[in-house]
Amino acid sequence: MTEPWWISLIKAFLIINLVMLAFAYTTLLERKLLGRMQLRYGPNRAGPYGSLQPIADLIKLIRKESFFPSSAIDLPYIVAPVISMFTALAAFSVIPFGAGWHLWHWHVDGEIANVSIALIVVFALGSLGIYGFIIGGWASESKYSLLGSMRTCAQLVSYEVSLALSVLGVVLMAGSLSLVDIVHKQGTTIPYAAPQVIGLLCFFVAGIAETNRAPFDLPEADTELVAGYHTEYSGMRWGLFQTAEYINMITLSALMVTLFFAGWHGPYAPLGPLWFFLKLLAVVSIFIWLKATLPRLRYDQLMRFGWKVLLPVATLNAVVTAALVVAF
Amino acid sequence: MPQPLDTVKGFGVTFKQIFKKPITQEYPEVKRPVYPRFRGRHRLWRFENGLEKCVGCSLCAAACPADCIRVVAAENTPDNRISAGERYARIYEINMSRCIFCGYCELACPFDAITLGNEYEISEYARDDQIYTKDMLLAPPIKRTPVADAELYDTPIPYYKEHA
Amino acid sequence: MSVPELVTVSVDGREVQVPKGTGLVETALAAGIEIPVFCYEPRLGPAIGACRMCLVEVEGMPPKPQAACTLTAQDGMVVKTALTSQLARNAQNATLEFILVNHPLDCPVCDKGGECPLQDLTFRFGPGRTRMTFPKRTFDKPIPISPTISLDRERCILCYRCTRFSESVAEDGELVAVNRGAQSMIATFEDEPYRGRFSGNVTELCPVGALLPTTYRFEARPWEIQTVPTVCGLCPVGCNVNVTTREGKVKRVLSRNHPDVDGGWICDKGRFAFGHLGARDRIVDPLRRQRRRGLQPAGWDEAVDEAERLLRAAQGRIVTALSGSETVEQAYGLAKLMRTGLGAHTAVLPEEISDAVDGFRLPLSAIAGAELIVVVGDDPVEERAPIVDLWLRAARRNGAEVVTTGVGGGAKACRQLAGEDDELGRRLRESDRPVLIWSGSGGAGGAHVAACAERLGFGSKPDSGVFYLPLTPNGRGVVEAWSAASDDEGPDPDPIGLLFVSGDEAASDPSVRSLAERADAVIATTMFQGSAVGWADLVLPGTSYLERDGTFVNLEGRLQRLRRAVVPPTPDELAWISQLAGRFGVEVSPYPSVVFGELSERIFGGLPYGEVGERAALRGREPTGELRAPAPAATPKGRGLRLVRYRPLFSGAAVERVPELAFQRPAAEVQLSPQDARRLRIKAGDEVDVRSNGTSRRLRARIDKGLVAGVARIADEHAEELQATVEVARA
Repeated sequence: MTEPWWISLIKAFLIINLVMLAFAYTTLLERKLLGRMQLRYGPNRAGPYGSLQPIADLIKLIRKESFFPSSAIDLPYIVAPVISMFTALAAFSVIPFGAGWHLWHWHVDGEIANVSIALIVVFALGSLGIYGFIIGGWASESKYSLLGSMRTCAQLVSYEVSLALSVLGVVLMAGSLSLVDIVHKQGTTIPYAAPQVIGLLCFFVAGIAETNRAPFDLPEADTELVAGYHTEYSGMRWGLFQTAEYINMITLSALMVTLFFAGWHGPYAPLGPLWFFLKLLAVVSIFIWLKATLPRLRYDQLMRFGWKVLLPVATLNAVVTAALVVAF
Repeated sequence: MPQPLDTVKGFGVTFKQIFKKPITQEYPEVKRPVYPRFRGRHRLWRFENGLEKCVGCSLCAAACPADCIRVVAAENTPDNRISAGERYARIYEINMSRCIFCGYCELACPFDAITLGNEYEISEYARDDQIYTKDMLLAPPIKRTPVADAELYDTPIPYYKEHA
Repeated sequence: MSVPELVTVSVDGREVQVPKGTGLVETALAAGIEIPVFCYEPRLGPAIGACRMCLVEVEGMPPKPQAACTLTAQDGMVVKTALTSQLARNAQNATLEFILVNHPLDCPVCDKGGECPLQDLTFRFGPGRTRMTFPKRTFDKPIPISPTISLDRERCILCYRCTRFSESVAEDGELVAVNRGAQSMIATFEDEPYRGRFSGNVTELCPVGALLPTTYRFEARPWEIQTVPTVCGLCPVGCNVNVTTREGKVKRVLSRNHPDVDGGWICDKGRFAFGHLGARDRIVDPLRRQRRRGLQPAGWDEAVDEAERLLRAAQGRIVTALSGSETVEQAYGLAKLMRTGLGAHTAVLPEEISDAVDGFRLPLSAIAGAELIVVVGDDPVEERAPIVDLWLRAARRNGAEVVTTGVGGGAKACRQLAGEDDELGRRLRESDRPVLIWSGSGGAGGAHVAACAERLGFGSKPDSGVFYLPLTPNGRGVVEAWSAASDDEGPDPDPIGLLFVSGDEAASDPSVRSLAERADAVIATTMFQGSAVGWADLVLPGTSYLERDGTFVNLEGRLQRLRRAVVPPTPDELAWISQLAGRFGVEVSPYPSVVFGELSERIFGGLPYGEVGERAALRGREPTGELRAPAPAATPKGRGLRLVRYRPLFSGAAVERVPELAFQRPAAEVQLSPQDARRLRIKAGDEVDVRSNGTSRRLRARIDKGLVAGVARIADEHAEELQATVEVARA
């Protein structure tokens, strides 16, 4: 039985809100965890243990002056953060959170949309998201923005390839592009983290580069490019870019959990979302851990690594997996 | 140790730090004590008998690199004797938003009338409130700033051992 | 003039050539080396070498250090100052140490601190520590030797500058050094107050904080003040001054030293009268007369509207009463408005002004070098233009002869001088450097004295000079500006539709007041409420010379630049003159520089405003053609004495409002010649009644030997409504 359309709608609404909430508290988690790793408290004044800090930040951003540079090109300037946000959020429509439940006499799926080429959808949306950065930097009509966005996009495009190649192994092993199938397969066999260690590592590293996180966060380094593509943005417009970036990170973590750590599988099946959430938390924390530990890579080091190291390794992994899958 | 292992060791370090106690001192609940010669808010002093030490000579205004002191002098009359000399400071204002707390006024004063005390919590909401008049400067600070052990950081002027 | 002989002197190894007879201090300065001095001041006469600060080592002279100020440059002299000579350095160090032995530790409370030569020289040449362990000698301090000057004997270093000034410059002998040796101190005789016209100069001369002005006591420190160079506008001399201001208020007035005009001195009125800027009855808003409510404050727009209405209603029958203390630009602006805009060509001044004396122009400093000086007129020179009196005294010290004549009848004296068989006239003809000075009323703007000089042959002698001392500070400038505004003429209006009174001096003039009674309406521009309130229909607030930017023409004919020292509480006159003028279609710029530029084309030879200069130059002689002396006014025959009014120095709206100068205000007295006093059986100090045509005043009698018989002299402000002939009788 397929679920009625209106349940999908409700699920979509719920997921989007939860993701936004997750984004907000990811910022808090990042700041507090980062603080703890640096022997200091994170924010702890805004509420008990700083729990209202994201609300405070939100209010601040809304109240801030969203200036509009006079030389910026109107429509693209406004639309760019929207594109980034949209594509980041849209990726969640195909990620499975649970096995599916029966509520009264309706069937509720574990994901919003079960698309047979879900993985490609996710990657396609990710690529579309790059447009947001390009358009944002370009429409700002400012040197730093343009340079920053060019660099960002070059970086993202480079690591896009490695990202796609690194999941080939998983796809080959699961035999399907649908995320639901991949999770099911992992439930029956083994989380693909074990056989696909290299693939996992490649995916992880490419993922860090894709989301502009440390140590690949050159576009965000103030001393290099002022603030890169979001130099000329302030207030809530900048907030949207920031949201897009964090949600990208959450999406990637979710993808990693789905592809390599058996998604929502856990001891008690109906609580799928909970296990998913815990695994997501762990992955996000690893992202933060990386940020605390590693220094930034220089741009040329970054590009060289992406094309000369990561791509060959991911390709190799795919080829070897293919060979092995065919063999067995 | 070869390079990748070094990095992993680094990860270990950051991970261990999570479980150590942060070294942040949470102001304003915990205030770090200042040294006895800390240059904080200015104070104008009196003699024991109540006469002000300041004679309004304006040397502090001359020495001030930020030009933030305004002194207007007036004559001491026999029935209204304010200071110990021929003249007293009728108007004595320091603009704290201009002051750089260098202590040159303290060095310039021939009568030890102005010194920099230890109070540093002097924020205000309006610029105008930052102009401190003579009575504000004569008054002792509202809250006592914790001062580090004076015995440990000995100053050669015994007077300032008791009066922080 | 012969070329002075040059001598070569070596100072600290530097060779320099100076004219023979130059003092050693100036010689060293010519070589670029400064010798510190305290008591040396060439304006006070010969050097006395009292302070021993300028000690230098001179080769060939006795081995002890010599006081450089007492030596003159000789050919081949070799001088070593403290820069190269240990002897001189030790000597100067010791001098300062001795001066500081009894000098009190007053620097923080002394007003001189920061601008004190003793402080500066001690830093440079003096000891860093004191060896004095005994109690210092003390005096009561400070002692007010007059309401304007205070003396602090503890700080005095006995350089005797003040006593030398009192003795040889002002020649009033009031400040003397009493006691001897270690007990020497400065005092006035019997502790009387220092009553004189130049007492304030000792506060500038004193190198320490011993003599200080009371008006500046504790007011400001040198690092808190701004200095504005301007020109005093209270008398026609126009001494160059530096006005010290702090936080937008005038705190004191110092001399700027124009060697040709004031020689570095200013009179007490110019020095202490700045207090009138903050007088309590100063008008700040325009006042408009409203029916049944009297004068009410009004806004400026209302006031200008009302002025326009009154001016139009008068239909051109307007008389302008100028007071002679407006700047040239203000007068020109007003003149343009009145003459070209309204066709009102009649102006009234307190006295006649003419350019008759321009043909015999000399700078004031030339008086000191004159040979024979004749002063004609019934106002004492020190009441009209005090600095001229100082120049006269300097001339006397230099050997000139100064003769005062014609008190009570100046025009007649002039005719007599020019006559054939006058003894004085003959001597004037024979002299190489004669000077004639007219100081009094009835001089027809100098026509009398100029005609006399012409007949005495001054035209051919370039070193001869004629000075006409006017009553007003800028009479010349005002008249020139008024005549330059338009070439038209017009009849005197009768009846007067509107009287425009400009300035406090005009407003307090009784003749202007009588004009006002005949006029239908009166607009007055005054600074103070006492002057015009009560009989004016519209009162516009005025500004003082310290608050104006503009030019004055002084009695020499020198154009000097006034600078605004403080911002006035009311707009400058040019501002509303230009607004009013605009309403009548006349273009007058509100900026003095633009107005001056316009005027300068016509009368100042195109001199740009910015080039009037710090030390204004004097234009050359400009002979005015045929000089005719108008017939002298007929002396009214009548019983009794002829009344001569004079305006004392310390009178006027400004001085009245300065409390420190109250002790200098003229006493209520009448001056009689000895013959008249004997005839009327009046002794000095008696109370007398002076009667004339219905009015009577009670005054004290004083005998003045310089007065001619038949003349009674009374100060202007005490002789208010008395007529030309008075009867004096014992009360």
